[in-house]
Amino acid sequence: MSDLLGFAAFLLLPLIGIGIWRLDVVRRLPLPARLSAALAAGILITTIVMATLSLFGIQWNRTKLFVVLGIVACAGVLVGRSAPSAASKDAEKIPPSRPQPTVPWKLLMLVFVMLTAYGLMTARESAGDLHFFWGPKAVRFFRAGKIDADYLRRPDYQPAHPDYPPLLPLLYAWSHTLSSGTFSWTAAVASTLLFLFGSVFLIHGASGDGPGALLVAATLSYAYAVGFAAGGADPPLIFFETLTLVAVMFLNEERGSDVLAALGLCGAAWTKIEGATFAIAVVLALLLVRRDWKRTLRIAAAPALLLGAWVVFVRVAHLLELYRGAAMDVYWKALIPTLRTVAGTATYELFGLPWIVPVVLLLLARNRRAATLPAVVAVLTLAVSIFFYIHLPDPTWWILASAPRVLLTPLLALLVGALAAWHPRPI
Amino acid sequence: MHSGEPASLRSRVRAPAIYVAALVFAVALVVRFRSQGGPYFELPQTVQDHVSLQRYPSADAIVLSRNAAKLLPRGATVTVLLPSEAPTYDVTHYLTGVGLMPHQIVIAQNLDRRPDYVLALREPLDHPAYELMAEVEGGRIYRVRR
Repeated sequence: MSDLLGFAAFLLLPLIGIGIWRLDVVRRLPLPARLSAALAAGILITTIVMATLSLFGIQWNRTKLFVVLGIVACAGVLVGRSAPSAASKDAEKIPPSRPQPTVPWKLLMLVFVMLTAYGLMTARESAGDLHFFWGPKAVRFFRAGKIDADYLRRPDYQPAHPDYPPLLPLLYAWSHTLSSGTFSWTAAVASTLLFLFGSVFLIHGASGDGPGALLVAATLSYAYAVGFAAGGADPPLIFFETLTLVAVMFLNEERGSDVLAALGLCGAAWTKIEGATFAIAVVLALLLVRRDWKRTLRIAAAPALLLGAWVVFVRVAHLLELYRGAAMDVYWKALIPTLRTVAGTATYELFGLPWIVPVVLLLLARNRRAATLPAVVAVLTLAVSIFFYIHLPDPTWWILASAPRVLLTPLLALLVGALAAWHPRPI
Repeated sequence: MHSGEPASLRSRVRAPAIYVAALVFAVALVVRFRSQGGPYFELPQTVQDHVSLQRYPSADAIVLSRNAAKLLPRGATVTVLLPSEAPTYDVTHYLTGVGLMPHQIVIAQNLDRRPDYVLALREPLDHPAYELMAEVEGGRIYRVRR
C-alpha cells in the first residue's frame, strides 16, 4: 500500500503544476507533453514550497502541504480554464515533417516502456545512491518536517554529500508524506519511468518527430539501465534538461518558451551539481550561437537565483561546500588516462551505439547548422566532466562509477541536436 | 526538408535506421536483464536485488537494517558493516542503514566509539566488546557487552 501511495505522490505533481498550461506554447503541445510540462512545474513548485516553509521555520506535515499545494493546484486549474481551450488550437499544433506511418514507432515505444518498467520493478536498474544518500536524506527531512541542517552537519553523514542540491530529497520526502509510515524505495525507483518518458513526450510533443522520439526513448532506456540510474538524481536531471533543450530548440520564438527553458534550468540546477554546469553550458551556448543577451538573461535569471539561494543556505548552515571544487588542484597528468577511461565507459557496453546513431543522423541531415547549440552544450558538459575528473590523481574508480550517468547530459544534447537537424521548421 | 517535398534517399533511410537501432537497443536490454540473473518474474525483496548477478552486500544491508529496525530500541546507536572489510569498511553500508532505521542513531563504522549495536553483514563479528544478540535474515545483530 505504501508503494502505491508513494507513487501516487508523483502522479499528483502534474496537478500541482497545471498552471503552466496557461502558456500558449504549452497549450499547443499534445496532452502527454502538456502533462510532462506540468510535472516539471509541479516538482519545482512542491520542492520550493517545502524549502520555503523550512526556511521560515514552519515544519511541514501532510495537512500543511496539502493545504498549500492544494491552493496552488486550484489556482492553476482556474488559470488554465481562463485560457482558450487547447482543442481550439489543434490546428496550430506543430506539424510533422511529412506524413509518417505512426504504428511502428508507437509500438516500439511501448516496447521500451514495458522493458524499462520490467527493469525497474525487478530491481535491475537501481542506483546505489538512492539507498546511500538520496533516500536517507528524504527520510530524515520527512521526519524533521524540514531541510534538516542539524542532520546534514553531523560528521557521520558527511559522505552523504550534505551540500548537494535539495530537489530530489524534497521530492522523495513529498512521496514519503503520502506513503506516511514507510518511505517507498520502490516508488522512488519507479518514478524513473515518469521522468524518462516525460522527456520522450516533451521531445515528441515539441518536435512532432515520432521516430526521433523513439530513438530518444530507446537510447535513454538502454543508457539508464547500463548506468544504474533509476532512483538516483539523473532521471529527473535529464528530464529537466530535456525541457530546457526542447524549449530553446523546438519552441524557439514561441511565447512562453523562455519560461519553459528557465523552468528546466531551475530544476536541473536544484537537482545535481552537474545541473548547474548544464545551466552554465546552456547560457554560454545561447550567447555564442544566438547572441541574444536579453533572452539569455531572461532564461538564466531564475535558475541563478534559485541556485544562489541554495548556496547561501549551504554557507549559512556551515555545510560542506563542493561548489568550490573547481578551485581545487588539477592533475593534468591524469588527463590522457581519464580520456581513455571515459571513452571506454562511453561505449555503454554496446560499441558506442548510443552515440553513433545520432552522429550518423546528424551527418545525413541537411540542416546540420540547426544542431550547433545542442552540440555546444554537449561539448561543454563533456569538457566540464573531464575537468572535474582530473581533480583526482587517479580518477579511474570515480569514472567507472559515475561516467555512464554523467555522460547522459552530453548524450541527450547530441540526440536533441540530431533531431533538430531534421526538423522541418527553421531553428 | 519540407512538407510536400519529394523525400530524398537520406530521409527515406532515416526512419528505418532508427527502427533498426531501436531493435538493437531492445535486444541489448533483454540480454542485459537476462544476464543479471533470476528469478525473472517475481517482485524483488530490495531495489538492489538484481543490479548484479552476484548479490551485493548492499542488498543484505537493506534486509538486515529493515529487520533490525523492528528489534532495536529507539535512540540506540548502531552501525552496519561487513566484518571482513576491517579496518576500511565500506561507508555505504552504514549510510544505507540511515534511511532504514529512522528511530535509531546510525553512526560511522568506528567500533572504538562503542555503538550500542553492530549489524554484521553475512559474516560473524569477532570483537571482544560485542556479543551476539540475534541472527536474522541478512546477517547478525550484536550488542555491546555491559
